Amino acid sequence: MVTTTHGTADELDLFGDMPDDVVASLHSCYKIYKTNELEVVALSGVSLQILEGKIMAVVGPSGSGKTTLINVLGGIAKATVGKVYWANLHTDITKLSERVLTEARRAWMGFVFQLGNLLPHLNAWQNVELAARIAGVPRRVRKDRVDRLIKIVGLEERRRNKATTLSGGERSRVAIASALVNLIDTEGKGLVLCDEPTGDLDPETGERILDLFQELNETLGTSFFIVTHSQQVASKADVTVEIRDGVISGFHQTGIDLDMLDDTRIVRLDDKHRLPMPMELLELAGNPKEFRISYNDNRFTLEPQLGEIVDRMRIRRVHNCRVCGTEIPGGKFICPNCGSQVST
Amino acid sequence: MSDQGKFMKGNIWWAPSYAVTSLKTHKARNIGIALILAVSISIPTTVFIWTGTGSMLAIEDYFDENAYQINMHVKSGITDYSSLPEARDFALASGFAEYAHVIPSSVCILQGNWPDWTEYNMVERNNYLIGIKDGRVILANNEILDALSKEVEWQGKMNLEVGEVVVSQNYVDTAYDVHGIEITLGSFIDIDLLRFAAKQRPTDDDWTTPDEAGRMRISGLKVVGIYSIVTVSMVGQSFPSIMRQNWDALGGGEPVLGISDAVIMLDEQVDERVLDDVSTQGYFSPVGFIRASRDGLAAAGATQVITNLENLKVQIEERFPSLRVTGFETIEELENHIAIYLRSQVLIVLGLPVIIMGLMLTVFTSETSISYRRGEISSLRAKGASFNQIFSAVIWESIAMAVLGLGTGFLMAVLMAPLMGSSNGLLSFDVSLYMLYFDNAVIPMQAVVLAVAIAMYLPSAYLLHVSRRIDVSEIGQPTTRNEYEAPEETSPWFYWSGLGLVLTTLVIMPVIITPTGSTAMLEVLAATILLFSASYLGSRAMRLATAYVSGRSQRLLGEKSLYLQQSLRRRKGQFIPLMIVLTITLTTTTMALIQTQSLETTMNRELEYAIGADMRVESYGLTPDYVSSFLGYSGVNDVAPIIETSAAVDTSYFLLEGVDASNYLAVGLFTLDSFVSGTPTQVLTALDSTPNGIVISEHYATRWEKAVGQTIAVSVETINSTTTQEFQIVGIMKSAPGFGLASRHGFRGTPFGSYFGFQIASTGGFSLVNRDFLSSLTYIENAHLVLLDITDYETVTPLVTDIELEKNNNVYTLENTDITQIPRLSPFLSGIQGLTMISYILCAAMGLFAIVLFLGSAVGERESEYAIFRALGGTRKQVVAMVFGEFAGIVLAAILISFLLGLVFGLVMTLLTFGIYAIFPILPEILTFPVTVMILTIALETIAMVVACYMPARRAGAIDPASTLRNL
Repeated sequence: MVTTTHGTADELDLFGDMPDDVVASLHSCYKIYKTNELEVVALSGVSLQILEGKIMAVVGPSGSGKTTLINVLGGIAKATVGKVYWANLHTDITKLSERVLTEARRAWMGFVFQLGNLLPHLNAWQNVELAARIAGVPRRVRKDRVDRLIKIVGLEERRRNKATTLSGGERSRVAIASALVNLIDTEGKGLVLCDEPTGDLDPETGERILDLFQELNETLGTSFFIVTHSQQVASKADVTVEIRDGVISGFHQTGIDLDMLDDTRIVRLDDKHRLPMPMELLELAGNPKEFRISYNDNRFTLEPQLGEIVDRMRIRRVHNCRVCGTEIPGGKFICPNCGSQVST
Repeated sequence: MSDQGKFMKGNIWWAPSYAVTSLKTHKARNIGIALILAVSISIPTTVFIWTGTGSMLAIEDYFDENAYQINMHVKSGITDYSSLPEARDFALASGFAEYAHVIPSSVCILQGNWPDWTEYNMVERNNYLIGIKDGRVILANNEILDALSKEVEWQGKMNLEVGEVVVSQNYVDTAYDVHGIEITLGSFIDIDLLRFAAKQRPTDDDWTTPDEAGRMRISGLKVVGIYSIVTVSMVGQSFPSIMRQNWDALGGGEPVLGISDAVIMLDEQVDERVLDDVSTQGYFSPVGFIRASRDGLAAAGATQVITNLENLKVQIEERFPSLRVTGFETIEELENHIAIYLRSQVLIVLGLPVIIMGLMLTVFTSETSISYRRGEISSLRAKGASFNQIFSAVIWESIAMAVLGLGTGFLMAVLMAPLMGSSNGLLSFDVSLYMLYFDNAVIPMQAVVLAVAIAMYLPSAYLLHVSRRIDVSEIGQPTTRNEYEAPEETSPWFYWSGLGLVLTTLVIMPVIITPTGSTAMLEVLAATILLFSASYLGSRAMRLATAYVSGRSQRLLGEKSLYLQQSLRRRKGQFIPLMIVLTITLTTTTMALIQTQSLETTMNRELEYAIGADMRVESYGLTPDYVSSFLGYSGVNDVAPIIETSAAVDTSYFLLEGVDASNYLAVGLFTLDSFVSGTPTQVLTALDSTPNGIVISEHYATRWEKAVGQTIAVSVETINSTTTQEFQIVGIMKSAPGFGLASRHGFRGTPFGSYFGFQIASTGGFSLVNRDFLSSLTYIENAHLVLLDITDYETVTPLVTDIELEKNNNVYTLENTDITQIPRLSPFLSGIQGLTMISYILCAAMGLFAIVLFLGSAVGERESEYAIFRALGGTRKQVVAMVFGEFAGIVLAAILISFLLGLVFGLVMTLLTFGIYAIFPILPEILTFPVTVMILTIALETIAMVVACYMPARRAGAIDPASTLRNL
């Protein structure tokens, strides 16, 4: 197997302070699609970090930008603005060529989709092996890995069955094994991006697949980034990110039950110290455009400013001239006596 | 994270290995695509292989019939023969000569039990009378004898060993006359070979004694072969006879000392010194023979054979001015033979619709194939395959298919090309000729280049489709597709109007622009484009019309009506390409049938007009009494003898044909197009009543600015002089039966009559005058041509036999003249017939491929739909009936529209293709509908196609709803 190191000193500097446990991250990423002269903003300043050995779930309604997020993170789609960091390259991947990305992705990233993406004319074993063949893994190593993975996902009995004859759960298992076939032996564990992995499965089968994710996460140390509609999936993740209209509107820790959150959200500052606002709560508040934020007693209080409240806030303060001491009336900023200017 | 910075370059062998897997997985689809490509490759390749093989066979015939192509003699008066061996060596070094020989010859005198000769004069004395039987002795070799054996009739053997000779029959006969001895096979003879020509070339008083002539006695020569000269040949002509009085000084001369009065022995029979004496001082100049190398010439290109041979001849002439180089007596025949093949390459245009359709179908199928693989590509991308790997996998796959298509295309061409050479009618061929062409198949380089170029079209199409389909953002697409297509609500009248416009353009085109030469070629191409447009519009219109009819046939179709109607309105992507392919294939078949039949009818009509009457007799001269005796035979109704002489007006030369106007009118097979100034009856009646009347050609009427009623002074050649006579113009003609075009001025190419041998060869053409008047003017009485009106051929058979008994008489009737046997025309005709047959077979095959491919994939895509039908309670039989009805409806709709299009395109294409042939008819083309053949062939294709529809329908019925719906 031919391997090459990649990266330059300059690029390394950009992410020099990136913690070692970050596998991949997005930094203020925007993705704008142009269709029929219309611009659709799919991602709007998204920033997040995926940590090594963790499962991160992304939840959100249809059209919220989940699939775009996974594509941008996987280097399949380029972010219009922003940076995408992969730990194996130690660099921003948005400027790299497709060839470099493909080669870098092979031993480090796997994909699992809702539909499994299995080739119908290959059997389960061959479907798992395919990614290793494409990558050029030697035959003996390849065979060993596939056998191990087939065993791990519990498909020893069905290994010779064509993809079309497998059940939904079995196909998902093959897809997961296939995503891991080039990652299983890497020290850095790698990252598996999953787009609705349990979308077409019944809850029971879905549960088993999620257990498999957790098991693999624990045994192999692989990180998982899962885009899902499912509360069931979100509950298994170490971190759950909520996304709405291309904006991250919530970060939650393990075991979060989104329904239990009610009218409370946990939000995280992005790398520009901006705070994304949860859309549901904004809607509840009547979509205010201004807020009053105050810090008292170790608490931030955020009050929506609607209608006249905003005007009442505008109190005209009286100043004294710093030069001659004459009183300057509210709303005026030049001393009527000496002409000096009020400075803040 | 020590090795996370490393990444994998990928497996370069994955692409070809995946291509192999993919090829194996979709065997039927890939073989189908390769076969369709093979069809496109095979048609032009077939034409090139046919012309290449035909030309090569013509060359081989020429080489078989002509043992030597070039011979060399020392010019008369030159006694130094040394340039001959030098020229021989020069020819051998050229690479175009297989072998070359210099053959010396001299005089020999037969010896036996009679007084020895004491003096000899080759020219002046009555040698036979005084008991000297002389002859030519030729010191040859077995190669020359082998060549001679092909040109003479012989008994015994024509292969010698030392001590053996072959002699001519004439030598045997005269030896008996002179000495009374009988020379037979196995006889032994003694001869005196004369090594020197006394005093270097004998003249009137040159006498020579045995010593002076270098007499060399050779005894005990065994006669092993006796030959007779039957035809003029190069070897024979190289040893010419001299005329001499042998018995009586006042008697007539007889040819002696030529090839027919010769003794041939091996040059090894004599030693080097003698051979040298004979070569340099013998009675005759040695002769050089060069046999051209067939392989050497063929390697330099079949079309360049004649040029290369002529170049060799010119080089020898320029290098050795003392030599007279001759040969090529029959080369013109070879040149014409090759030319007809080369000109026939234009027939490729007849296959153009099939070629283009094949390529279109290749695009359709490759596009379909790739679009179904969108999910597969997406899956491979998700598994880490790079763009390059996917491109390479697909390109490897398409190259494998292109190679398969190329190989199959060549195989098909090699099998089909002999059909073009051996077809002897519509859909029939001569098996032995087929095998001859097959065994001698020649694949010209341009065929290979063209085939490879067409084959590369497939990888290009794939590359294009893949680059369109491969989209980075599409990772994660489903690997199966199930899209709903909205029913089409466009009015069929839109398409009917478009079709009407296309057909009107097609019909008007040849009327506005006369199709000749390159214009015709452009019009054929334009018509081919219109054919595709018409097929497209017709298919769309018929699809909607069929849907409309289905919707209105509820009583007939029951529950299937709604489904059919909706299905036909949807499925644009599946049904329109299929219908277009079927429409084009069937239209092309109908078109080709009409074209071939029209050509055959037109040519038969041309032949009839060229013969001129029910029967035609050609001769060097038939006396009036002999011609009158024809009327005594049963079955002969009328006879029109024709006399001929040359004539001129200023510098315009032409022939005068003397006819008995009333007889000619009764016997000749006239058409209303024959004369310009009136009907045949009007013109010939006027000629009959005007003794010095003349009917001139339209060309000369314009050139001389003469009209009917005016007079013209014509110089007429009589038996022994030229006289000027004033003629009164009674008519103007375009052509006349039995003579062909009245003038070939202004006509491109060659009229059919020329190929039949009946067209007046003079470019100035001919004029018709009264026979009696012409006879009294020129004293010519004997007819060179007689046209007869007969009841039927069977009855006049005794007359035909009697006429043919006379030397140089030839009889022609429609019954005994086969146009396919006319050497210069047969390649062209068999080529057209063969190509029609091939087009028919390929069209049928392509239609079947299209059905299997399109309907097969349609069933594959709609499995879930059929499964739902079954799940809703439909029986297997009902599904089969419904799907079969839908597919068969499509096929029948295509057949219906293609029949209509075939008729229109058949007629127009016939007119256009006549324009591109180098041969043109004198009379207007006859457009013929071979109704029975058309119905039969279309019916056959229909049955095959409808049956082919049953296969996918059965597959649809066999779908298991449980497993299909589970995988939804």
